[in-house]
Amino acid sequence: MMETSSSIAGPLVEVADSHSAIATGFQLHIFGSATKTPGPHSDTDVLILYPSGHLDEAHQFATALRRLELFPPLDVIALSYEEERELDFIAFVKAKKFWECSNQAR
Amino acid sequence: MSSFTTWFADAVKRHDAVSSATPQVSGHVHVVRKDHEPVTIAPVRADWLTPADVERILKDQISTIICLVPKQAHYSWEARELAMRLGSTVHTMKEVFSSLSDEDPRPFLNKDVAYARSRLEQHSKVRELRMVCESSMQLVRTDGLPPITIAVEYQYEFTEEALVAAVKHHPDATALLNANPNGTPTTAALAHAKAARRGLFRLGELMGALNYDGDEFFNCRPPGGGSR
Repeated sequence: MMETSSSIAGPLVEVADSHSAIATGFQLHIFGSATKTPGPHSDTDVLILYPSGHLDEAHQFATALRRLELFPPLDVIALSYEEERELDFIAFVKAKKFWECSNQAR
Repeated sequence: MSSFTTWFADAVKRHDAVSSATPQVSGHVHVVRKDHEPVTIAPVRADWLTPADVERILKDQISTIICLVPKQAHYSWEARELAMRLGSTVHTMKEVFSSLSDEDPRPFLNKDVAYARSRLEQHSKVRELRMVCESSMQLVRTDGLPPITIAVEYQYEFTEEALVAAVKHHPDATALLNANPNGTPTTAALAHAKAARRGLFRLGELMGALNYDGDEFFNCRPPGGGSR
């Protein structure tokens, strides 16, 4: 896991690890003010990047993250790899990856 | 004192307009504000709040605000109207944080929803606008056009997953209105909306689409997002 500028990585990775449907290639990134300035922030922006054909799993994962009672709250956006390419989102917002599912058995 | 009430008080304390937030035995939180009268907030963990919930929550103590804490939670407009009649209101957590600086936070409505509501109810084909929840409204139309329900979202990038989430959140919505004038839907989101027969519009586009029904409504893309 890459180091993030906030302490939110732990709970997010815990949720990710508990979702057995999450497939290889799922990634979590952090972006926005939480990566740029010291807190407090009004929210923490999180990107879920997911492989094509895994919309349902991505939605379930995003829903689980949105349900976390964290303060500041999470703003979660989920993009397929195709959508990310269409928007060039990671480069545009300078998102930083802090987790990736690489377990082939999942 | 429940840890939930304590957690909520700790969160509210961080608001710039708040001097102190004290959990009470009742589960409500007493909030002292820097520039205005104190308020009491009843934090609630529920996905959807009904008038019956409001009656139960306010039975023993009328709090200034009933706050729905889960980020995805929302409430029926009837529940909010009942709370208002009883001297309270219902807000989402985001609405609480946006209204604590107001002298009276109870009538607060998200500015994107308020703007969309004011524009839509002025449309010549709209006879009546009824709020359904804090971010959706039913439009009763003239000239034999069927009623439609609009859900207001605010997205910079309207992704396919955001569309799925919005439709689950507002299952009766005929169309989703992206209140962000600079927001753009992805190709996958537009394709998904078409397959699910849901409109996905910006305000100007929706104002044009309101003149139509069926495919003409869903596919309406006025030049320049024109409105009337």
